[in-house]
Amino acid sequence: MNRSFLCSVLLHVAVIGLLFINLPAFMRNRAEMVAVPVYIDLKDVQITAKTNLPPAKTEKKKTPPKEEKPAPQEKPKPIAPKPVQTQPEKKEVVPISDPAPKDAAKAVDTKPVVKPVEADKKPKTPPVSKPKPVQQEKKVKDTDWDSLLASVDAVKKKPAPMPLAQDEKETAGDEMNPAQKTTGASGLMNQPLTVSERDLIASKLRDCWNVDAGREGIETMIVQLRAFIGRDGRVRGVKILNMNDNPAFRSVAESARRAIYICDNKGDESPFKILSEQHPETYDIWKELFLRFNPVDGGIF
Amino acid sequence: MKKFFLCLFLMLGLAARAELQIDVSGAKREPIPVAIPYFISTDSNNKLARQITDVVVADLERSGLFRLVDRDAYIQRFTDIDTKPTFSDWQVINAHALVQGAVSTDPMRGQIQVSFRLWDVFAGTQMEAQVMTTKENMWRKMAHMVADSLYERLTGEKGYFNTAVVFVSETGGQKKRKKRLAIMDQDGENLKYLTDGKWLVMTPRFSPDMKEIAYFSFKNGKPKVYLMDLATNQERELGDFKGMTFAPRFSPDGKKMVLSLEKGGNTEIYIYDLNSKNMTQLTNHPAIDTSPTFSPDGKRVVFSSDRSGRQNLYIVPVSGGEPVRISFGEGSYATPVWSPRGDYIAFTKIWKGNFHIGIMRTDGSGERLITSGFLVDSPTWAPNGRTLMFYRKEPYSSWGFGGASSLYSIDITGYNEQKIKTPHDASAPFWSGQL
Repeated sequence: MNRSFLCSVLLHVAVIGLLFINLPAFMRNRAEMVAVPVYIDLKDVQITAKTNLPPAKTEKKKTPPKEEKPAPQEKPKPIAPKPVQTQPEKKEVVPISDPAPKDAAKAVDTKPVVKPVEADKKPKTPPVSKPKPVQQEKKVKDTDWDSLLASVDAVKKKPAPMPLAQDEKETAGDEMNPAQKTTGASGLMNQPLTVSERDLIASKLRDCWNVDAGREGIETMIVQLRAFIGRDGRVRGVKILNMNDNPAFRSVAESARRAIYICDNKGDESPFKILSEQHPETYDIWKELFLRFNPVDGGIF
Repeated sequence: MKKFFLCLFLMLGLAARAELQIDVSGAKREPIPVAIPYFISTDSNNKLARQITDVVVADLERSGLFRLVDRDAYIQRFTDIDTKPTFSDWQVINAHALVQGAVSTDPMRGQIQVSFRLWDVFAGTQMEAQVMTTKENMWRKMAHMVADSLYERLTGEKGYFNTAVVFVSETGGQKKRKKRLAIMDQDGENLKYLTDGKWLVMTPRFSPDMKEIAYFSFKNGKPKVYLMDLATNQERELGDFKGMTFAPRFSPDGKKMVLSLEKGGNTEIYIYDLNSKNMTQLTNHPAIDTSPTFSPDGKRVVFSSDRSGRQNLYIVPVSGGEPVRISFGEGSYATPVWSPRGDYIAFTKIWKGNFHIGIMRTDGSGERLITSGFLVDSPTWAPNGRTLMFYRKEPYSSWGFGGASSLYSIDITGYNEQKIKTPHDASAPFWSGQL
């Protein structure tokens, strides 16, 4: 009993002593944190002639005329190739896009059936489209400017977003090879998307992709897929191109395929809507997307 | 004219390969949302169907890789397993995978049958379908096997739910600690005690065929390694050696054991042939060499030794040779265990006054600490080489309270640390292979 009483007294003394010592120090520190203001007598500061800056009136007058001159001249040029592109698209619309968009549930069920059919149809289109750009190229050279301007006016009615302007500027001066631009030959696979559009699509797909990070050898599991997109931006089918017997790779590949469908199911937020809404005239290029998925963030392909 | 057709041919070739390419790197690391409606009972045994479903769901969620979509959100209801899902109903609730299951019983034979289908909801395809039959009293094991099948199909890795854990169950206070060998399913169910706690026991290990357990005991005041037959609970001494044997482990083929033998103040690693009873010395050094473990191919042994001045990890071929040091970080390394996949070695590290569980590659590179605490120790691998179990002990207070010891599992990524329920304190776990 005496021992416990003694311990209790000692502990109480220790606690009270600590409070006695530390509280004033704590309060003192707070007071020290308030800085004493430094007072400068402004009457003693003299402003020399060098500090008297001249008024900036003349600068404002100079800038406006420079901005006005280039704008009206650049706009008509990039639109010229568009009428060339529209003609092959009309023939390709009917067999692919009509049945799918309305009946979403049925489209999901029929996707495995649709895939081989669409795969068979693909080889037919290039030989049909290829001769036309050559012929249309001649037509562009032979037609009058009036007819071109008329088609330009028709195209102007469609919304033309800003990112397109970069591609248009790149192709505007080169009228000698419209065929390559319209059909997207392998040397120009970056078109019609800009870098920012491509990154946006990749970013949205990444948000749809969920994969387990702890797999053995995950850093080597790069999945290659081909997605078949309808004119309305809906996914018609996905094919895994490099499937193998490794069960772990199979699950990663299936998760990548699932990511495409999940993104497709997001309606207006789907990354493929960017293609259908912003680039309807180049459907021939983006109706088949070659996609590579690397599970490692910042991974090299 | 020939040149024209040649150009045309080349242009055709080029255009045929025209396509847009997009590269995606990185992904989310979230549990996969899975819809698992209660399995349908083809007879009136709804309770059994629900129990099986609950075990399957608990296994998948405990792995940390899956998340059950709330059943209240389900739109489609199934009355049998042969009804094809309306995928749009499951897509709208963001279920990536759907499991349909059914349970039927045969009371005459005392058997149950479980069948299930696994669907990829967004791709609209069936991924897996199986039928399993077993005795009715083994329904829990069957549920674990269903969970293993789903886990394997969705992750590509072997499941680990149909496994057992042997460990040391502890009761009593700090000074009067009672330790018993115990065995249970990996989810903490079906617990059974193997010893009565009369003698202190440590480091239990399953044999690969799950018929025996090797462990260290102070039975009759003779501290040495014992073997227990799990069918009969009969135990016997492992050989008759001069000196103290401890830290036993079976070889992958179950024909040999590796252990430490202390003789004349020196502790070395030995390999003991269970058939021929021959003892082969593997190390020869004045330092303390202990905690040996076989590699999955049985050709190498990793162990802990203080020959460098403090405890570090070494690898030596079973055929003999100079041990090669693989740990070079700060702190002391102990209790190494080789992953069943062969790619990692887990260990306990004492550093800066704390204990840590970590993993490193077999060449010593890529060291990573995945958990830490006042005392964390004895890592053991799940058979898929993906999950670790260990025990965590809390400190004792100055009044003698505290000191609780519990089993935990954790993913090798360091995520999903989960406590394994046991009726009392637990330590020294060892994870079995697939049952």
